[in-house]
Amino acid sequence: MTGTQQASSAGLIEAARTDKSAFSALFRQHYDEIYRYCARRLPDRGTAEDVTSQVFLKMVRNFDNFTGDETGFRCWLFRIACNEVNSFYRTSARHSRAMDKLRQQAKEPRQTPEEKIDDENQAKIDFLRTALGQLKSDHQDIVTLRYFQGLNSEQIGEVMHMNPATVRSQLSRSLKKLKKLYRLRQQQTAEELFDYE
Amino acid sequence: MSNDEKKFEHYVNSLRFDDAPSKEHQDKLEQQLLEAYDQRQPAGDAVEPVSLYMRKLSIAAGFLIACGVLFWGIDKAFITRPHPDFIANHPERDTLEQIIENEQAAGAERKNLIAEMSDIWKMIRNEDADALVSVLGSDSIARSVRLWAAGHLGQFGNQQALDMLDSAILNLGVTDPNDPLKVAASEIRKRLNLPEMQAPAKSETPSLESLDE
Repeated sequence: MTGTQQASSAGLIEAARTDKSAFSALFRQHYDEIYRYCARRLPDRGTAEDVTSQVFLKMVRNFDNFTGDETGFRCWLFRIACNEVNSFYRTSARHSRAMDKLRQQAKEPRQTPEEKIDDENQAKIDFLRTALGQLKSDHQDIVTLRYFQGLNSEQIGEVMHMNPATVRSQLSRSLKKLKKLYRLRQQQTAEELFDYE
Repeated sequence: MSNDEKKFEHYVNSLRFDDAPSKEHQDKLEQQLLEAYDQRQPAGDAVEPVSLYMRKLSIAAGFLIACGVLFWGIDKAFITRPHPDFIANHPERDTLEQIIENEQAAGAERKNLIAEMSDIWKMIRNEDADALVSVLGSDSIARSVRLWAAGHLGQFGNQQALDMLDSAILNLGVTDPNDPLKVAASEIRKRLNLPEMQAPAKSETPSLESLDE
């Protein structure tokens, strides 16, 4: 969200407390961003839509308790989104089902209503999600907020109730782990190729 | 930003996620949210912090009172405790005080003794011979208390109580004529004009020597 957007929406939260149309406007302002975040982290559109719905339903239920400003509101929504995504993955059965789905998707090319995403791209996304799944849940939040949503350390710190310096160090640690996982994958791919030849 | 961070950012940006929002879902969700919005308490009618605090306080107080009542109920229903004036108002006050003196009970021991006597007194009033026979055969209860109970059982005990006493005497191998069980049995026999209990006949199992013979 740009500074102009923030300024234009100044007071929208206050208005949304009593005005339904202002509340609708607030929802529309944040829907895309939250949906995209969920869609990038979750295995399919259906799950992403379900989790996005949960995020906004939680938002409306707790809206009267929210006392911050526009920036705080955005962070608050991301915090709910992170919790909901983690909650989805927390149940191991669900997690394994989701992972199975990811593996399945990696094998079968996916058709979407918008466009057909090529297999190579999808395989990369699936591997990225699988690799992220090997990180601690708060590290997953940090990496995805940073690289999927483009939040900076200060904003992530606000979402996660963390010091920005801690965010930076955990981000660096997470990237090291991801790098290892990617190297391991490359090695395995090379071995598979070698065996094939 | 480190080199790894830059590379990773570039890598993620190169990916094409299937993350285009669905207008249909957005509209459907908006409807759901507006329904939920109507159901929630309007901000204007929100409870003021002070009254919210008072409400929380009253809930806590109500909970404490309920716990207190529950505890009192359990205490009354299941925990037998002698009335503070049990001895003072008892028709056999002197006897009971004499028992306490004989037992040299003080402090907690005295309280336990009074509690025991209070329980036994309930058995006496209910003429619960079964329970009293158990009391008379229990070594954990002071002998003087058991003798006091034996005296009462002797006054109201019938043939059935006598049978129970005789059975307990035999089972426990009681031979002392001053044992509370014996005392109670003897009293009942006197009252019912029955002969004293005969000692069991000696075993007639032959000895090893007799077998040899």
